[in-house]
Amino acid sequence: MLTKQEQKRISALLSYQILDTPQEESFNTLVNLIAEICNVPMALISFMDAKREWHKASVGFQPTEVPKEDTICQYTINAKGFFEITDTKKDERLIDNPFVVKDPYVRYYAGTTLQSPEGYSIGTVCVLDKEVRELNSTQIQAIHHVAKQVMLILNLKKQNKLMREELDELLLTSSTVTKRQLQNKEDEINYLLKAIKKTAGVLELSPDGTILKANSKFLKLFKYQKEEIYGLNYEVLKFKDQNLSDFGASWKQISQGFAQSGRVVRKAKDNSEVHLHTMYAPIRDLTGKVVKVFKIAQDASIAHQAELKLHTAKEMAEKIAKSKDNFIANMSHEIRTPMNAIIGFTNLLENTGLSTDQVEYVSSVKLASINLLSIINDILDISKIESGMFSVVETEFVLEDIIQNIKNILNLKASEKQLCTRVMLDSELPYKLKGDGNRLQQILINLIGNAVKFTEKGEVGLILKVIEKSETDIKINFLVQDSGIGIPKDKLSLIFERFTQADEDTSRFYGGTGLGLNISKLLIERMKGSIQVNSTVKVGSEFSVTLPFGIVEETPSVHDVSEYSLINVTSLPAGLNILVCEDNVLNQKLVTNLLHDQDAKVTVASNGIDGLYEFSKDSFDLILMDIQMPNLDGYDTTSIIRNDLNHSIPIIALTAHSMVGEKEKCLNIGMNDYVSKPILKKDLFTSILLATQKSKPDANQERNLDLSYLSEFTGGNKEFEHEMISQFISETPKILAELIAENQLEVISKLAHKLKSSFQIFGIPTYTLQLLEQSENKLISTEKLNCLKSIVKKMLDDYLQLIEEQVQS
Amino acid sequence: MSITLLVVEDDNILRKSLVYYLKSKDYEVIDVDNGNEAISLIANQKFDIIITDLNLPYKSGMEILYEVREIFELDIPVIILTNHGSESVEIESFELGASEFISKPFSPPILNSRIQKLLS
Repeated sequence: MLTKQEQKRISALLSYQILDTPQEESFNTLVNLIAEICNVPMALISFMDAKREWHKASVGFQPTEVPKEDTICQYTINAKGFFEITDTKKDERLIDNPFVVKDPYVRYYAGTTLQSPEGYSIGTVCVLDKEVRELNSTQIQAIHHVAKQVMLILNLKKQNKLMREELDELLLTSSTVTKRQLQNKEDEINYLLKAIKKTAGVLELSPDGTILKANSKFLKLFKYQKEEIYGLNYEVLKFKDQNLSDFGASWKQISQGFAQSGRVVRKAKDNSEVHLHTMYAPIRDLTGKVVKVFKIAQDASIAHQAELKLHTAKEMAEKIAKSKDNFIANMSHEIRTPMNAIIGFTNLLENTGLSTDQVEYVSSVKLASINLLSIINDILDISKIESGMFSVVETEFVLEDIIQNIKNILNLKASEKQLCTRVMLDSELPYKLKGDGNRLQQILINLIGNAVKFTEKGEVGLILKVIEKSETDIKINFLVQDSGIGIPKDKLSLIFERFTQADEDTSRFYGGTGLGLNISKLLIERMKGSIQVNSTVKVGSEFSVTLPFGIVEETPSVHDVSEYSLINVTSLPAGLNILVCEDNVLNQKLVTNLLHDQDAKVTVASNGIDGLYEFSKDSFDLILMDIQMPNLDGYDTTSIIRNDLNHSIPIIALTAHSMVGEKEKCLNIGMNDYVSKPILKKDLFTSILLATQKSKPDANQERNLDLSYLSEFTGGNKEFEHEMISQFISETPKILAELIAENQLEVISKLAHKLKSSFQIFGIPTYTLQLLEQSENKLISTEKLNCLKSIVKKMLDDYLQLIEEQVQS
Repeated sequence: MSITLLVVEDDNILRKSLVYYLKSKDYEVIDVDNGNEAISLIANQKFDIIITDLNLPYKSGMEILYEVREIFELDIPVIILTNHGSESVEIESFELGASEFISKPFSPPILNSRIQKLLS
């Protein structure tokens, strides 16, 4: 039974884990050292457990362990410090000690305890001799030092061990933590993948595009069973016309590790379309090489349907908008045309020898119809405003022309009521301006009309003044003054509103729709100008309009005034051969009658195509060309005649539109002159005279093969040019034949486009081809199509002939 | 160092004439007549400038432009040549990253000066 104390001592010893360990140099050195210093044949470093003394290091002593009861050190342990036996024979305790009575016959012993830090003696350092002797103080000190050293070593070792154990534990915990984190991350990724696979189609591909795996959603989208698709290349999911090189290019990016995403169309097992939102995610290994590619595909069929619907809706909206535009333009045309006929025939009627009564009646009809026309114009304007089609354009116009028109109207109206007139123009006013001349005229007519209407006696005046002027821009003030009934102060703001005149009575007395000022104000605002009114009842009113314009020409560069404008033209030379292209029967009759009266030969065509047909059959002196015609309008017909047929026959435009900018448009397209409806005999005859005087007899110009554009490419290399010519001769007739045989507009458009490039190189006009190109999107009659085709054929034939002549020369 | 141009144009005569002209100006020229081959070439070879029509078989000039900019991610200048010279088409091509937009018929010397400008 061990005492508690002894237990504690032993556990202290055990904590060093030194018992039964192999020899170590550090201990051996120490034990040798102490033996040397003490000059003894035997020295020990030993540890005492419950039953034995175990020697860690020894000098001159064989047994590694000795039973406790046979040791001398046991007494040292009990002494807990330095213990010396100078003569063992004199010590009773050692009488029977085997090491005293037998070999090595120990006579002298000195040793000290090895103390643990808590104070337990766990072992000894001791020296032994065979003779009786003494140690000096140095040697005794040495023993203490060595003991201390031994303990130092032991404690250090113990600490090391503890630290290592701590470290190991730390590592273990941290590695556990890391493992757990890794596990969490893996779990996260797995959940992510699961979620993706649940909601999207997932395809696993090898870097070369082989399908490795597909989830059920993917298979479902593409209508495949698993087995059918594994091992196949990704190409199988693409439509044939989706070229491989396209796939190859982006696949190159993917295989280099770049993720790709976008909308695609793929092919399902039953060859139907699969619309997808797709993402390619290349997976790289640690070396950076792509080892796998994930394709994640979301069904985009709904988005696709939505896109289709949107596209359809957009087209429909555009169609509706267009048809709305067309409706209003058509209504405008539809309404004005019979009005023009009424006015026109009434004019003719006036000159047919009427009785006094009849003159009065006709005059009333004329007045009423002119009023009606003006009301209709107002209504059409308002309807345009309502539908948002209220546009202000920028064209170039001659200010003088407008002022002249206004003067005419002013004088006409004023003379009917015996009023004086005055027009004053600032000297700084430029000749040609940029802006909406048509609208300006409309505004001034409205104001002048009002001024005259509401004035019983006195004067109506128009004064133009330059407010601001730079090199490119100008602000003009238009002042319309009258000495009329005036406007009460409290009604001044109301007059610009729709359907109000200053007074209910005035509206009944003076008539009118009350729309004019409202429209004028809107127009002025749209043109970025301003309008003001000053008025005193019974004295008169002043309407002041300021508008900005751009300056095009300060002074006229070309002498625009025609020699005939001063003469009243009432007749034409006999025998003119005139082609009239006009779709309205009444207007046809009107014009034909006028011309027949002058002994002219008249041929009538009711649209551009018939016109071209008639034109090719006979040789005319001039063409009167209506602008608005079905099938082929006046512009296109003129362009074909001028460009593609290369004819310079005089063409005079007839149009219901009184837009000032339209004159420029007609002239640009190649028309010679312009007459607006209602057609006044004087205007028509003047234009015809002018046109026929200026033209030369042989209107058809000599065609030349123009290789100048080709030579810009070839630098004049005749050999190469010949090569291109040969290619043209061999290729183009074939394409043309295809075009002529073709009925599908889409294909015709493509072929026309193809021909266009080649035609351009050889300087062949392409207007007709352009029309054919654009036919894709329009409703086009077979008649028109055939007409255009035959024109292209004729042109190409002519040019091929020219080319062959050239080649032979 | 020689400059290599890619010309994509489906009209034979125009394409050959243009190639002839460009070669006479000492450019290296490779020409194709459809969009697919154009993309194949671009994927495998470096060009200094791409000159392309819009209307092409298989792949349009717009698609070529898109792929060059968005998928290949190349900054290489792209000149669009076309007959369909509408404003909206021009705007769209610039938005996609075209460097120049030239309407047909065009002047070869002007095209060359544009090329020179893009190269500098």
